[in-house]
Amino acid sequence: MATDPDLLLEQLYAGQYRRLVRLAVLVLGDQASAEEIVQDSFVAVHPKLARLSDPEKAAAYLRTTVLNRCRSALRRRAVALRHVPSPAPPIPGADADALIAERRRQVLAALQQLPTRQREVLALRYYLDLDEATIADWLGISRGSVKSHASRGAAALRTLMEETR
Amino acid sequence: MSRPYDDDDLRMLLHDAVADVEPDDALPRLRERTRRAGAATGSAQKGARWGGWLVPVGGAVAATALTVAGVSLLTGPFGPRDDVATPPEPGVTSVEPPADPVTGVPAYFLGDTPQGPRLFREFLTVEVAGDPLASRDDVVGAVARSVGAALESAPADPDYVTGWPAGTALRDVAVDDVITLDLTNPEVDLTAPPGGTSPDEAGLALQQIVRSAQAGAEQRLPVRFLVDGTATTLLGQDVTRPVRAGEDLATLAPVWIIDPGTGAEVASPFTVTGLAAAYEATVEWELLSGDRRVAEGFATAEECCTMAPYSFEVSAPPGTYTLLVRQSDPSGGEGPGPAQDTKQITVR
Repeated sequence: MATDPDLLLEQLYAGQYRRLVRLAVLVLGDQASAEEIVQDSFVAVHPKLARLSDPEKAAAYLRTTVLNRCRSALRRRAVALRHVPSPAPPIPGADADALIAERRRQVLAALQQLPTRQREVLALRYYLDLDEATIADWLGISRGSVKSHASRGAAALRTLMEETR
Repeated sequence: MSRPYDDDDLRMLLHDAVADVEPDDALPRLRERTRRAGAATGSAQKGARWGGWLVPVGGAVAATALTVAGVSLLTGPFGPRDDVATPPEPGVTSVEPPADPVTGVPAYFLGDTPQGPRLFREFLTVEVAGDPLASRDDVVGAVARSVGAALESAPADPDYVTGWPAGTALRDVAVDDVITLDLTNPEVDLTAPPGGTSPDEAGLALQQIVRSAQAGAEQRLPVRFLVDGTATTLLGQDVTRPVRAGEDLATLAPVWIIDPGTGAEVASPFTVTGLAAAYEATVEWELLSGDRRVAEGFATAEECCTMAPYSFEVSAPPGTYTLLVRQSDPSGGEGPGPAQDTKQITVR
């Protein structure tokens, strides 16, 4: 297994970068901040990679770093309330494309209206497909809380999506 | 009141919400930033990383020959838009040490469409024993397996071919902000246009390798081609600069059957999955026994006009069949006709 931190960084990049940017877009609502935070996280974990020769552990560590940095960014942003998420620029083209882009924008906008915890739990549970125990461990909350954040988040998302119809 | 979201709804909703988020390649910047940080704390610098294995020119080329057996898998790394259908698992999927043989190696091949030859993707099983590049457990190994499988002229589907002269092999692979592939062929001058092929076909042969390398690397990096260590021309095409993947609609065949694969044995009923870029997102299918149509139907892809997943279920009595999936033809027969993909399958 690779112990060279540069090599491990490349492997993590190959396996994780796009997925983590997408995760951060779900939590933060915009791609530019998401890319910045994920890149900062890669740079931050790089010096520690030599000690984390297990790629699974390194990937988990990287995810935690991304999530923590997303949360800090949201706290800083909370001052400037009512953030309107800027969606990924829609590709001009057929009406069907426009409709799909609009639906994606709506989902991201609706997610932004949920409390941070609910949004995090939904993203970890349904985007990264992590189980409740892992999420509980990660966020330092009980499995019961994970369950309730997930179900409240899902219900709120449903209501918000209904309203935008 | 509509029903509440279930787990599958949420999974689809969240995956779809970010399906068009394609970050730019940040590896060069990351490498630059970590190098600076590393220099500050005194850690060693690393340059571009080669596979580190050079075959003497004209000798031992057979060592790179990969044994390819056809196996089609639905789940696989990196493809146009089908990442939505296979939720990612946590962990670094690209660095699992390869078992031998390695299954699910993505490779692209040429096949006919009404618009001329286009690319189809297969997932193959590749023997890597004794191959110092293909047996590596990192991104270099993954690229070597995919490119090696594409060069080896043995796609599972008899309708597909490789665009490369027999005996073409990989000398070396490097992956940094570009994928560098050093090719060699002891019998054929790879720099010259191959006899009997058009420049378009030569260009598509390069795209076959670009797409295969990117699928192996799971990154859409440009590909720098070398022939015996030098970048000049390849199959008559200028390769002094790295080659990028062409537009999906101009490069890829618009209908792919992904599962079942060629020669598959299935129990009825079975599910057919694939990718299609089709008018009104509709594909038509037929199950043929010789010339006789045993079953037919149509299916809707998840999106129009881009390579999007489709699936449908087929019931049929035991027997050997040709499964055919084609684009719906909006021209009513006036145009060049619909593109299609076929697979020979057996229903148990």
